[in-house]
Amino acid sequence: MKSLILLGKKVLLAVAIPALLFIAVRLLFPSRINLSLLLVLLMQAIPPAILAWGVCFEIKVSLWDFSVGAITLVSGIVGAGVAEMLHLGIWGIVALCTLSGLLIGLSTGVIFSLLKIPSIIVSIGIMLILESVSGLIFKGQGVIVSSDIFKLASFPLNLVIGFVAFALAYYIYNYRRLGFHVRAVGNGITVARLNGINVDNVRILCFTVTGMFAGVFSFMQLAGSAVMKAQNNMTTMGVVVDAIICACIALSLEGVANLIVGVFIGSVTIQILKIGILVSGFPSMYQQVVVAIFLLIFMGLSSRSDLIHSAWARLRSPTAGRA
Amino acid sequence: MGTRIEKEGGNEMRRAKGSVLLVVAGMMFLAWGASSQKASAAEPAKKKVGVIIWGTEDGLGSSVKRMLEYAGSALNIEVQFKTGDYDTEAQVKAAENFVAAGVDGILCVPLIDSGIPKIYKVAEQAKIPYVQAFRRIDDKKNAAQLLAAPYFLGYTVENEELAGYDLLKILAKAGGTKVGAVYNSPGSSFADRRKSGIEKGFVSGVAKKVSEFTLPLSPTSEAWVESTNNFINTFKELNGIIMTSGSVGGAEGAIATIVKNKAVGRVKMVTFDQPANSNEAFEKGILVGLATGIYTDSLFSFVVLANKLQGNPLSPKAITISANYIYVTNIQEAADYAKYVDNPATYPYTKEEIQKMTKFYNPSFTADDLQKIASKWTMSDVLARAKK
Repeated sequence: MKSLILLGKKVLLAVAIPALLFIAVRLLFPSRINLSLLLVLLMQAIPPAILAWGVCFEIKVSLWDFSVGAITLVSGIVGAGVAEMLHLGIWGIVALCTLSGLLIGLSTGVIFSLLKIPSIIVSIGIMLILESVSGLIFKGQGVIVSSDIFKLASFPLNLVIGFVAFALAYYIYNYRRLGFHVRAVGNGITVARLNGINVDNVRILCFTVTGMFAGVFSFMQLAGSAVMKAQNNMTTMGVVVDAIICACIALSLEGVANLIVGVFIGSVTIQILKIGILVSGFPSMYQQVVVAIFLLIFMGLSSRSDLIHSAWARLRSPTAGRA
Repeated sequence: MGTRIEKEGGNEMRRAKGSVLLVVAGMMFLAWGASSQKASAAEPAKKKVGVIIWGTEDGLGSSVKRMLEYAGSALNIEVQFKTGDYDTEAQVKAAENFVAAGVDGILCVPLIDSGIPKIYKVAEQAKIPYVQAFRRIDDKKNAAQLLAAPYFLGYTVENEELAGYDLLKILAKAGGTKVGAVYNSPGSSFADRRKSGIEKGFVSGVAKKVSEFTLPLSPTSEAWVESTNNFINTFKELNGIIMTSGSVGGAEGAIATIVKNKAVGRVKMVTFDQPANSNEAFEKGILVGLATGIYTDSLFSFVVLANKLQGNPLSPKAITISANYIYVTNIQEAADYAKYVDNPATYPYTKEEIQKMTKFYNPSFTADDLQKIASKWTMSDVLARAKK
């Protein structure tokens, strides 16, 4: 019974942020925000969450990877391009995009492991290379696929893909050795090494997992427009930002929610925040600023929860402090 | 005796024959000389031009390359391209390399406004003319200096503000009167001017702005998908979407999102840049206007440069040409556009028409004439010329 109450409390705390945010936006703009919109926002939160599920493995082991957007780009162009050439249909695109992402992620991890230089530098180098590759393959034309692919980003397939990605991330993180090792390395590299964990291998696998989820994200992105065009000049770097924000929210919620669950909560929160900015008429060019401020406040509050608890305790028993 | 007379007669005959041959040879030589003189006058001296451009693989870049090579063959100019330079330093380097390769002039699409003087300086130091395409000079101080500089020939640029305003009018005319606007993040000169034109339209009552969304600095198609989704689901009265750019699959994403939300018929859309699925979108009545077809811009700059290289500058001062967008507003126009404008097998102007844009072939040609040609670049003009 006690454990059930504790679980209920945790669930309530975990969903409190997006729920309160949605209620606030609903109260402020009742004519614009209704419950049916919540479903739209939940669906919209799926693609960013997929990318963030991959990215959170890297963040957990303190890897900074700015090549995620470029991996998405190249795995989308290569996977969909080859699938189109071989007439494999949309499921061929799904398989090849995922495989391409996984292989590129693995390569990034191996390069990182061999060069022994900071992940941020390796990932920027890989990003530049991949962006150049996107301009070379298929004559730099990118890829245009049949509109059949739209069904992947529409209900119910988007929900199914989102659920499968969630289940996979949850399984790897919570039930596979990699997940345990990721958490161990995240808690302290030295201790993990002393416990016999091969940190280099863990990091390579984290890059691989992130690459695979970037591959999944790439076909979801293709499913939104049926087009993926070559990019350059580091324009893919911004792709990872939303994923990092989701992962950061998830890390802050780790005390009450599993990291993988927290990522989705983070993604939904960002979507509610964005719709709030849109309906409020607040200049949307400052959207990223608002999201960043929200993130800072949120992470600040969660990292200084001891202060909040003691303030709360003082409020409940004013005499306690004087005793 | 008889034999001697015969011999003398034979010698005279040979001399006469020799004289005739000499005269004929002389005449042939003169005729050849005259014809060779005529040939050199019929074709301008061979020149070499370096083009610095973002790329030649995308839709617009490849059309520019194809057309400039065609114009070069019409005007005896070899055209070399340098692509993939996205900052001033790289573009300066490209200009330096062109100078080292011995080009006679540079045509550049500068990507950073503040860097234009640096790129121009390379041309000035090499004493070769410099002209710009697709870009004006936003910095007023730089503009004043460059427009008076000795080797700066001018630029061609689209009237982005007018295009933004016109697109909004097209949208309103098609029923899109309550509009969601998707703008690029501030800082991009052309997108800012498009936005300014659209905003003018809203202020003057062409249509009502229901909401606006600003794309992130480096957006993916996901940003268009999200904004369109949020527009449709949050603002039920919204019946039109306008966007300052639809690149990286954004316009395609917006079209797909309208379909997915079952808003076909309710929400109309206009955009810059041609989406890959534009025909289908026109057919379904989602897309009601496109501003496109600007690749001729670079031709006008190229003509300005060619005239200078041929020793017949169109003006002693820098020339600024205002180029047009072609508006495509229905499926028929989309088909015509695909056939006559966006078709690799055709060119917007014939070799003869391009030659007539130079004083070498058309001594009375002026900068005003070039502006008139640029201003006439519309779908109706394209069709009228195609039917000739």
